[in-house]
Amino acid sequence: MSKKLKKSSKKAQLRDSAEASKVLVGTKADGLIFSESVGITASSTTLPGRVMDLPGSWWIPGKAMGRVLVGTFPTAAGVRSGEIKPTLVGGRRLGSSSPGVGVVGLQITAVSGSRYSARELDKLYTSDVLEDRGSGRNFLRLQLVAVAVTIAFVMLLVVANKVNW
Amino acid sequence: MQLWSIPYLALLSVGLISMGASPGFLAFLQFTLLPFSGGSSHLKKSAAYYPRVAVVIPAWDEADCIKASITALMQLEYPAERVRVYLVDDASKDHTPEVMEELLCEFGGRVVYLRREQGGEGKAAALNYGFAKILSEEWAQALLIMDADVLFMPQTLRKMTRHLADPEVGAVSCYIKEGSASNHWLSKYVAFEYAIAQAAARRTFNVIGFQPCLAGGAQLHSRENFEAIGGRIDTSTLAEDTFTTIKTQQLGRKVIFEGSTQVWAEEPASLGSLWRQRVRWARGNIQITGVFAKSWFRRTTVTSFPRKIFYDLIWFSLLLMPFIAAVATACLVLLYFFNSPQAWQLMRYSSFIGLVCWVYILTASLLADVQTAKRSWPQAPMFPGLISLMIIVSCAFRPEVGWAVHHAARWVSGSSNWVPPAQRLMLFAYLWIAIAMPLTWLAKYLDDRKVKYLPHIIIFFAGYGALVLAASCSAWWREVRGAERSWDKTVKSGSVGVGG
Repeated sequence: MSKKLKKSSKKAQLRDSAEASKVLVGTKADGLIFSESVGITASSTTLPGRVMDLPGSWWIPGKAMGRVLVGTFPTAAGVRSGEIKPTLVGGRRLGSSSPGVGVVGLQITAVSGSRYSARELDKLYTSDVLEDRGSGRNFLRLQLVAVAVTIAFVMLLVVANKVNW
Repeated sequence: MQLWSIPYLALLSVGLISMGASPGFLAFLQFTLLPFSGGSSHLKKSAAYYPRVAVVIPAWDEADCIKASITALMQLEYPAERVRVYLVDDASKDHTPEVMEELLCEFGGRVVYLRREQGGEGKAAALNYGFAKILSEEWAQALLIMDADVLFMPQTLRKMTRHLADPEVGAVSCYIKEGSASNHWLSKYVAFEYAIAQAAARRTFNVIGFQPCLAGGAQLHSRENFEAIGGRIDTSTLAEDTFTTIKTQQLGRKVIFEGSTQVWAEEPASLGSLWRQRVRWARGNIQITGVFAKSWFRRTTVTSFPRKIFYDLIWFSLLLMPFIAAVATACLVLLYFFNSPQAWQLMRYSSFIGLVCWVYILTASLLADVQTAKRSWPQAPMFPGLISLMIIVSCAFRPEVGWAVHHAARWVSGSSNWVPPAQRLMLFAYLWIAIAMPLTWLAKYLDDRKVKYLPHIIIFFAGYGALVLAASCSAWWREVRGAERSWDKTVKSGSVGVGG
């Protein structure tokens, strides 16, 4: 990725990848891609190699084509990067200097050779543990609900058997 | 002659009928451990640990699945240079080689393709072919065994490897969720079954300290452990994953179920395919019981003796379920002919206990996996079948023969004046489980012949639980008559998706 693109991507305040089911490809400000936040469901259709249709209005200059965007995809979908591919919109090929309105294809590419620093690996672990502790507390609360439901059911059963129908 | 007047026989009958309720009661006791599963989590002993992982995928005509599963592995949030995928092609006759060629071009040295020219010997044989290659090199520090249709979530592998930081841990698995993209009714039953058997039950086994089986769809071993258990999968049983799980614990290493993360797998979408899978699993468990005959009800180093005894009781209550159900039914019918009021009283007590146990297991399992609960809530309460539920509810709630059964009979007869023969209804209630099992076999038979709707209706009335029990009976029968141990492959269409 070029330095210019990196810089503009940063300026664009791309959303954090942790925000599942949402992807912000860019903003008008960075001069590259204009998009609203686009919903992506975590399904096999978001797997690498598949082309996703992103609805909305787009203006994509030719220089953005084939460029790799990093960190703009939902982690829940297992995607870390993507590449904009020219797609036909209303019979017209996107990627020219003229704006296209309609649907753009987003080719999700595989991440290969990604390297994590030791610090990043520790950070991943810590965030996992924090997340699991939170979900563990929630799990306990839900299990106590199950216990309460069962106790209430036993009381209902006892009362129902004592009533003369 | 009144059976009740013969104390020994009466006592024996009561004992055997109570034994019939024991699997449900043991399951209830087991599930009461669920709220404690967080407290006994192994998280405290885990650490940031990212070993070099060799992922072994056996594939036999899995061209429709492997692209998605390998690509998902390439997307793991895990150092890419520390994951290497070995796909062992068990002489596939479909276009697996072409798909692999494409993947090899795309992912380069991160994917290794091993092809056997002579295949069809089963999953274990294919896995062993891959292990021989992996263990001949020093590279791998851990081995992940998975199925070709399994899709990993980005965080799953690292959430599993962190437990291997504890040298006492030999193997780790995670929650394998039903992820078929189709909205088929059978998939929803299977999804709920997995919520019970994995999301809930395996967490309780973490508390007990002994796991019965880490699913072969996502089983991670440290290299030391895998070499200690022989460096290969035992091919003498049909349950290779259960074998490695129990062997690991027998040799003194812990086995952890990581419930906070999951992978997605495609499960059978036809009754015939499901039946063959369950018969294979049940036969595998029978074989495993024999292989580890000397370790049952014995001490182990991985957990305390009382916990191990509790685990063994659960194992045998599930293994012997067909016999327990048959003996309890026979005793109840026998008691009905000799002393009907006593038989009815026992039926009421066991229904009361059974219903309470079921309500708890149902709610606890649904709340253990809320996502599956949203998907399978109509199937979940119907798991035992509508008729079983009607019998058990009416027996538990009413002092006379069930209100619901009574009214159902009136409705069927079409007469408001018709009085159902209460005694015969009692007998029907006692015999129902013995009737339900052949009915589920009939549903499978009809489903194999592509009959629409009727199989679903039969399962709805007879119960998914009865289907599993019938498959277990079939497994016992095959084992007793020494049927061939063939590997019935579960056909996968590749329709699995992250999120189901």
